[in-house]
Amino acid sequence: MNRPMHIPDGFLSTPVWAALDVVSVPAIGFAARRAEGVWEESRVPLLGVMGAFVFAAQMINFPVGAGTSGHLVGSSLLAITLGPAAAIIVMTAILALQALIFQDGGLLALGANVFNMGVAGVFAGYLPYLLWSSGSWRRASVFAGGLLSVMVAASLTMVELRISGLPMPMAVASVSSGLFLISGLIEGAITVAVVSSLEKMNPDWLQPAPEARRSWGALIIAAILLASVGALFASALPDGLEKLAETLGIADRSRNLVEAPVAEYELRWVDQPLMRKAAAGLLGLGMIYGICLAVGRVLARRRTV
Amino acid sequence: MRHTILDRWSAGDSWLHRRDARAKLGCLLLLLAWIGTTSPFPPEAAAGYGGLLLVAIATAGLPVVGLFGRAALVLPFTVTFAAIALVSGETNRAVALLEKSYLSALAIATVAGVTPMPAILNAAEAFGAPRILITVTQFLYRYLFVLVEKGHRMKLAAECRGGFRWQAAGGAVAVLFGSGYQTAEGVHQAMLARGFEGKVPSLRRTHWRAADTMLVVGLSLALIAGRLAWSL
Repeated sequence: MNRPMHIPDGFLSTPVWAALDVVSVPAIGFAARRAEGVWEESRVPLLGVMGAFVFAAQMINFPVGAGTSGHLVGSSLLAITLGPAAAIIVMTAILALQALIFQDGGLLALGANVFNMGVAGVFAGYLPYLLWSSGSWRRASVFAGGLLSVMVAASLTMVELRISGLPMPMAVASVSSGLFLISGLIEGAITVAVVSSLEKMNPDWLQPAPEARRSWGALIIAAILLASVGALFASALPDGLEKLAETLGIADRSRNLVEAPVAEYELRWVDQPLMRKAAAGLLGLGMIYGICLAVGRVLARRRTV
Repeated sequence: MRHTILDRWSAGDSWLHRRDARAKLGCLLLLLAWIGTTSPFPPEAAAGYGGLLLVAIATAGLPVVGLFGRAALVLPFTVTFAAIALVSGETNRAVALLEKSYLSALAIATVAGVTPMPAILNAAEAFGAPRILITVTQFLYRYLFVLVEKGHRMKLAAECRGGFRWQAAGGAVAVLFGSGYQTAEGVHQAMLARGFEGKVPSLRRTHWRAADTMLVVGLSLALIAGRLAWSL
């Protein structure tokens, strides 16, 4: 149990994986810049070894009852120990190696997996610690971080699959939400157990607790939880505007005001029908690479100024 | 860095092993994008991509059964969603999901089987990946099996004592964390003593040759020709 969801290649539609690559690459670049600012270059090996620790920690099974066991996923624990920027880098390295060595997740889908588990999962896992960890709610904040990191990552995965056109009946969405909640609760409890032991061994291994901001913190976390579960259920339902148009009988009267150059993700000026999608995909891949390279250059230039 | 079976395979000396890692990574991304954008996914397409990969695997001297087995690691996730698609009446989508994800995993495993991991990471850096990410991944790969082996031994010891209890499991992970931290401190000191300044130098130097260009152009032409052939 408690297994994160790595999306393989071939599952996501071109616009979905392309959009998530566009979001993830600058996010990784930003996290890399922040991590380089916090961690001296010569101490970077520590981050690599901590990534290896996450793999090793997954060997340790926590008894859950009824003959089942769970294991640590780790994004929340990494954020609490290394800080969010370094945790994003370590999670990205983990996901890349999982795709290359263990065939766990795809390469084109790496942007999506990094966004779900590395960026959103780390932030969701760190937010309660950032808001609550200084007072008596410390354990609750660690627990909530573990819970949220799994819930948010898993819900995003399902939503992306649904947007890519995979059938997602309500029954599947309901069962998935229940399983994600159980996995999240297990992750939260495991993270609390590990953090409690780390505090006893060496409190310096944890990020210093910021000043508590409980009042609006609870609101933000409740919103994230509701949004992640709500998005999953919403993705199982038809689009609201399309449903209304169908109900009113005006769906067939819709028309495009402007003809997009890559409408329906096909390059219209390519003659062969089967080549259109491939050409659009390659064009998208080239554009993503170009945008990411340009953004990276601008960021690097700003850094050196 | 000779821990996994992939390390053994990637130490070979076939025509594909000798190609520049940048060419192989570029070809892999091209092939994955091509497979991903093939829609609908007719049986001819699956056979074409499968045949292409089979030729690469066979001529590179890689074990066919071993690689096909590695690619099957993707199936638990895929079969779950293919079953949902099947139950929802979308048989073609279910089959396409199985074929696309399996062929993509086979392509990744093939490239990982003919390219040493440090070379893949150097190629990723050449494509613009941040240096800190590459360095972290290099160290992660280097110490992955050291710490996993340690975790395995702890698990085995606990099983001999009747299995982990909840608090003991938490303590075991914390001990593993501390052990990892100490390992990292030791590595850090040793690397500093050897003049480490944040970048792991590569002993292997590869150069882009005409054969690398031919590989990229040849694959592109084969993919275009294949798609034109089954669209006629």
